[in-house]
Amino acid sequence: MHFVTGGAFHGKAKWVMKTYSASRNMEGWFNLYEAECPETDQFETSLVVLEGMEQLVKKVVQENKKGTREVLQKKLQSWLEWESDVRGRRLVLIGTDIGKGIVPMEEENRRWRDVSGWFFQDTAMAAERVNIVWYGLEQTIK
Amino acid sequence: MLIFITGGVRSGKSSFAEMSAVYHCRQGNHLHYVATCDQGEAEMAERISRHREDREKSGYSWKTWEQPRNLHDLCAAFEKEDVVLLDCLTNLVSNELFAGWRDNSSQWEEAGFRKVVFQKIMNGIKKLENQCRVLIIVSNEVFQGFPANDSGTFYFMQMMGHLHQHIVRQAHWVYQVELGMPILRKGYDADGNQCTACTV
Repeated sequence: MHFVTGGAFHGKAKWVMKTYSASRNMEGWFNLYEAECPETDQFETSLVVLEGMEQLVKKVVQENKKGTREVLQKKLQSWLEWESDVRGRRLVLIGTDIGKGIVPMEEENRRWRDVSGWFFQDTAMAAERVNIVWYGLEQTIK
Repeated sequence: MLIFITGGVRSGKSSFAEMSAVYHCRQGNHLHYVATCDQGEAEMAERISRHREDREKSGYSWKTWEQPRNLHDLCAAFEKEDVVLLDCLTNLVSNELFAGWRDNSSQWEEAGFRKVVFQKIMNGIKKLENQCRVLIIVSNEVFQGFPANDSGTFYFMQMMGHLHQHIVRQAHWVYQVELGMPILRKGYDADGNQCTACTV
């Protein structure tokens, strides 16, 4: 599992496309801004890219008052299992860091922001490789 | 040569940029300061005069240009060996993108208009870079917060992000200033090889 993060409009997806010779239109690239996060049984290619981790968090926060972090940890677990089931499988997660600004006014947005931070920590912990993309330049932090 | 410097507000990026400009300026050549904020705003007046005093105190003579938009108009003002400091890109983008907001115009909603503004700014930068020896661009970090929920802010951030990516790609040296300290993001090693954050 490979986690790619950084601020908004920093060229994260572009970097993933270049690194994996992938395209946003390819089978296996899921944009969570446009569609819901698929379950692993819908992963049909050996390379799967999930773009918009923060959107998954938003949805989980909206649907659950409590235990959000655990729901997301289960997701992580299922992704790791999918990857290790067959040799050569690779899951790339792209998530926008939304945690470095002013505290949001709305309670739900504060939760979204908090849970995103925790989930990104858990994701980084579980991932084999972590990159931060800064205006197109990558920094390997794991 | 193109040098790009970014940082948060009050991070010391302007001071570092001025130091860099002085460092790169050779005797007999000129130091130019291109200010991009609209003088009309009273809030900015104090900051402008403080920055101006700082530059005077530095003991070097700067020529100041007020250019809130239309960067390319300035080209004729510089000589080949001059050093030009543009401070900052953020104001320039906001002045260009939101030009006409007082007349209730919201052209920034149109993708075509945003494309024209993007090209105009990138062309202006290219022209300036070709016209002088060193061009230093200072910009702001405005992307690390919560997603924007109004279209003006969203398109502004999008434009800043795309410009930063393009400028970083073209720049020879890129610095991020934190707490007054410059962090090298892209540059050259002792053998003249290009290196980025992961290798330096």
